[in-house]
Amino acid sequence: MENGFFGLSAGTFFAVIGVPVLITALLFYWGITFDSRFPETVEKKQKSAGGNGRTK
Amino acid sequence: MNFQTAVSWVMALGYFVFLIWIGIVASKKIKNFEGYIVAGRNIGFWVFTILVIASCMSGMTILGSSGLGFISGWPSIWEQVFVPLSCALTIFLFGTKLHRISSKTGYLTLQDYLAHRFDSPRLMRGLSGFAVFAVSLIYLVGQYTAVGITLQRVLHMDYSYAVIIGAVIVTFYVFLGGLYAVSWTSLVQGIILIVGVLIVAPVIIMKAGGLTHINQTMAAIDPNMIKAAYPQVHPPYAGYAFLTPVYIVSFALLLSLGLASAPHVINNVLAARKNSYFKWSPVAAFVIYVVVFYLIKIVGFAARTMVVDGVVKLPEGVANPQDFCFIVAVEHAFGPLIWTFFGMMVLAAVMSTTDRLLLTIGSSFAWDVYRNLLNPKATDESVTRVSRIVVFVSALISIVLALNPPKLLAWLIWMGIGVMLSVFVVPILAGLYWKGANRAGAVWSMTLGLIASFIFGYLGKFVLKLPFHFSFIPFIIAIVVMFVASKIGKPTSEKIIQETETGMFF
Repeated sequence: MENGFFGLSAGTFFAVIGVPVLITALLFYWGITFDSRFPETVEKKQKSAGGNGRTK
Repeated sequence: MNFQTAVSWVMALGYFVFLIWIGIVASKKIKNFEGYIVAGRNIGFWVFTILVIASCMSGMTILGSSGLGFISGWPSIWEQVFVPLSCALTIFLFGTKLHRISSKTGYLTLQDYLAHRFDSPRLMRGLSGFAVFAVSLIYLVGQYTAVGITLQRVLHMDYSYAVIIGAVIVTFYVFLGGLYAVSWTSLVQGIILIVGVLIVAPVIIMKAGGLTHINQTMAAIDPNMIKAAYPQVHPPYAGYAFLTPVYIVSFALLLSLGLASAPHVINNVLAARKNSYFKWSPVAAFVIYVVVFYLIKIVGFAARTMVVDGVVKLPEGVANPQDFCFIVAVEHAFGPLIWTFFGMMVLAAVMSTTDRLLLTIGSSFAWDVYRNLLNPKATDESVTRVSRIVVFVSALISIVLALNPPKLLAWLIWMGIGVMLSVFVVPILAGLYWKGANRAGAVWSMTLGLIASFIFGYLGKFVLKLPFHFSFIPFIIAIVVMFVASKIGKPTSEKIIQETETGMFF
């Protein structure tokens, strides 16, 4: 498969594409777990949106 | 003056008038010093995200990066990963916590945090303020030089006039509008750059014969040009083959952490309106930047192919002809008239770093040196005034230096990033996440990191060729010194540890 990936070997192709994709996935994971790390940020958002702060 | 030059002048003047107008509008929003240097902590999500990206984008981003791709091929692609990663690290690794603390404590600069966390209001502030000032000034000269080269090429004018015109425009809107002006212009400049690259790069790659042909052409020059790294031999078998696995590791630390801790980048996190921005901003910044940056690098590969195929020629009689490859490729693919528009794109990338550097120098001197060290009773108005004066004076100094750029300017800029890695990264990271880090660790780590970076920077350039970037050793020294000195020195008080929310949170 010397020319199978736009003229790059499989190893090179997956290294140069895989590393940024892996970093993107890790940063995405940071995003989806953010609220559990900083619960007070969610509380503030709910209060400012008229959620818990108003009904209590 | 021919038609193309006339169109270039009209477009450039329109662009400059727009930037000046932003500066004037922004100046009306400034009510105090906080408004001037952190935009009243009121920057929205996308302006914040683009501001961080734009601060990292320098004259190197387009010209230098495509030029490195031109001579080194795929092994240089890691630059395209590490620089965008530095934006993400600034936001999530440093920014999330710094922003949370600053919203309670009111930090205006990174030095505020370091002085508080390490309970060293004078020594730590003075030491870090000096490093910020010196590194930013070196960097600024490099940016003004790039502004001059770009304007010279776009407007076909004398280099000296190009430097002066570019510098006057940037200085004017920074002087008036502070971070409001910098962030708004960065948004415009960032959008111009992103859209511009997304349009030009695919066309250039197609004109060069497609990615497969580009890679085959590079493989014919040197089979290692289409590998992920050059073979680990030292010294490298050719000047362009320096990106070996060991070098790439040191390059990763240098760019991803060194640039992330750069004062003109990290201070942006204090200006975000909400802490919730730190949730998605890291991935947004990384993805946008990595896509644009990959395309810029591949344009460098495409330009190499075009040169080999005899389609284009690089200019002769210039210092680094490969740095003109992006310009030459755009001119070939779109014609000289359209190049004018994309010349604005290159200019936007350069100016977006220049303005942030200028403001960083002004705020560091006015707030950290003048207000906190020299005149603690200074009023808000006088601090803002001093900041504006320093912006003006440092612009003048940089213009003079850029008119006759030092012969080792490129090395000085790399030296500057190396100094940031050796001086700032360890105290900031240890300060944020390690409760055991204390004043002795921070002061000694910073001092010895700074001294070691000068020593190894000199050795690496003039005495012996190192198999890695010189900053690798000073960085390791800074880590060891932080650990040992913190164990010996007096622990930080529990009150400060709590105020600064020190400790791991992930």
